[in-house]
Amino acid sequence: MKKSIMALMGNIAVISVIFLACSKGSKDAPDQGGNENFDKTAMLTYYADKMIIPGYTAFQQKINALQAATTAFANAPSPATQTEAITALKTAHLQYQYIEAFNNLTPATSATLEYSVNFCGGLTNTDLLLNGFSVDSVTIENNISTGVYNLSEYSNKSFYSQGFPALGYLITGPNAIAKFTTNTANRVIYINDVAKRIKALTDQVVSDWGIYRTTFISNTQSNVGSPIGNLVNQMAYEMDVLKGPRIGWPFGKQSNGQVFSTKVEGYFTDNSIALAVANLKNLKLVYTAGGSRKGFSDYLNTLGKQNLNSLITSQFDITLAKLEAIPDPLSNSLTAEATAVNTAYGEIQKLLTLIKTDMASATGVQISFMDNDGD
Amino acid sequence: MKVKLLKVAALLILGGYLTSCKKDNDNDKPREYVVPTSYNFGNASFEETTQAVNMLIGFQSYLSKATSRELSQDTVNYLWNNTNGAFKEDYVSNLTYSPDQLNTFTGVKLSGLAKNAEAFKKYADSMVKISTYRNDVAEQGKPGKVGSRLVNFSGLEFNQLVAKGLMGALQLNKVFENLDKSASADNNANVSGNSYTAMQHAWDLAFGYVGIPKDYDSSKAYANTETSRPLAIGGYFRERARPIGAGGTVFAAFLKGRAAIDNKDYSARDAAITTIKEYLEKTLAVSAYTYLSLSKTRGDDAARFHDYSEAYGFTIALEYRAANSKLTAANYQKLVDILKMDYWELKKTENATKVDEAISIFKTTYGFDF
Repeated sequence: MKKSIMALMGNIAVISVIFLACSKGSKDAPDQGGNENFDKTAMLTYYADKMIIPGYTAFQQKINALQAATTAFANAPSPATQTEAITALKTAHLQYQYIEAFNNLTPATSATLEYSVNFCGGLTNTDLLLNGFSVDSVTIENNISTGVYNLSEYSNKSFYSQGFPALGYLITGPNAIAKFTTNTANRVIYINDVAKRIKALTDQVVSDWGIYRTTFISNTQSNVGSPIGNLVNQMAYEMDVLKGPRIGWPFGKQSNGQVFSTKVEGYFTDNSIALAVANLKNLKLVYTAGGSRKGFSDYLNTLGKQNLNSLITSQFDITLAKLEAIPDPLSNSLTAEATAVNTAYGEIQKLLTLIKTDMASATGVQISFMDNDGD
Repeated sequence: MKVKLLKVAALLILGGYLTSCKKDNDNDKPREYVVPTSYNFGNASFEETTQAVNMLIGFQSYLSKATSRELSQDTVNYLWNNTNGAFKEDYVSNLTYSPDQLNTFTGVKLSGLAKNAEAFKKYADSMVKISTYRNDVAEQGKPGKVGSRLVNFSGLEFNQLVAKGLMGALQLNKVFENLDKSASADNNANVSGNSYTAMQHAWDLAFGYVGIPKDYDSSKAYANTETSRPLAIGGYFRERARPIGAGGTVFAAFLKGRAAIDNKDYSARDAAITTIKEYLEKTLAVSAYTYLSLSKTRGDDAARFHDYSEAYGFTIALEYRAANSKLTAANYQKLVDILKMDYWELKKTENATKVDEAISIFKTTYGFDF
């Protein structure tokens, strides 16, 4: 009798499992490999307090220095002030790579930081004239000569005539110093306006994180638009930008091998690879949370995805090594070191797949950054 | 022996669960009948609903031309009332009916079919005015373009309120109205001069207003050149309501309900009505929910303001939800209050919690777990 009851209980257990599975319609549910044990609030708190807020604050400091150096250069253009300004620009641009992974979170998106500071043109490579990390020097010169422009205007033309690319052109583009001899007043105003706008937006992002931090760490869901959803999406997006605008497009991957050397990030400052390496290093830091046991790597482990975790970790290292093997300036290496660029490109693709496909599905995050609404 | 019997019993129960789970609803059936896989019921007739949905598409297509031309107030008036042969090839193409045909159906007009027609006409008129700003760049307080999107002074795309709002005020409302009619209409005698009963006909009209083809396939990605493609709310079954499986569920319920009516199985009909109402409302809700969620992933204002406008349009459509809807009047008002805000303000970090609140209202009301 006891046996029979046990058997019945067993069957009921089976039934209820089937019944549950069926009533819930387990669609895209991630593996529930005991992720209840993983403290997502601690993860988000780590990101906010150890990476995001310090990252933007450090960026703000570099931008302050950049603005000062830009003004000094504009007021007295000389090789000396130019060198100072170039250094400040490189430093700020490098620090930017440590915040880009967080630029799809509300404070940066509401300031449209990415568009106004380091526009990469998006991931659809359609316009042959202006795309990727282009600089629209025609519009810049036109803005200077007419004195009529609106940097908060919402158009690609506007995005391509401000931010780091514009400063690169104005500080160290062809005949940068000599150009200050004509239309001096307007040129000084323009370069200062560009620097001022970067600073204003950065200040806004830093102060907005003061308001947003609580909202950020208190939402531990992973649906579309949630902090975790956005962090994973941005990791995938960063990899797509690395594969496209940063390396692949200038290398000719979308143009049958035709190289676009002027469309690399940081073209005028000759530090494209340094920027890309910094970007990827930061991405790895986001992934590992600096070994704090609070990052996505640990989250994957808790989900029982140790293999995936070690694959991703080692692919980060391989990709970084191959990327570092390309000498700067990238504009030159695209042809002179084509094999090295191609090798790095191949590793970038592998890492992209691991993050965008495997990691996203393991964490139950839907990749939504390509969701362009048609109507 | 007893153990064995119990095991068998348990397995039988298990089997029961499995089939019930596969088949959706198992109702008591008065007699056996076959539910067809397409809406090819011999005496079904609902042309005027297809005409109405075609007009709806033509009207919203015309409004969307505002990004590239100045709209004519006359044309908007004519389209709205279906007078003066206003439907043209330019904005009516690849639909069941040609513009010339639509122009002849003067008995069918959006102004007469939409609930709160005045309000939607005003949104459309506003789009006419906004079209004069198509060459300007929008800023807070100034209409114009944000990227490719044409918005008013507060970042709103009026044409979204028309296109999405009418999915509620016209489609949802007409579907519900006809379903309710079919629940009590006569099903014994044919309507004089016709081969259908009043109940059958009301049901067919309800089906027609959904805007899906008779051989609808919820798994198919219809090309926008297919004349019988799903339209308006029917198109959103796939566009945004896939996570809830709305398209297949609604279509199956319409087939079941019509077969039930033909066989006087009224409990099955009523179950189908409940399912259709639930999933049509959910389609609007999940669309608004998805756009609001997406707005939190956008780096650019064009996409973000479009998301807000879409969500607002779908929220306006939800005003026409059933009286017993899970969405309470208080929560509905909260949604409207958030979405009628100036979008240049709503996008600010300090207002992120407002968007979150709207998302959370949808999530908890409808149990969206994605």
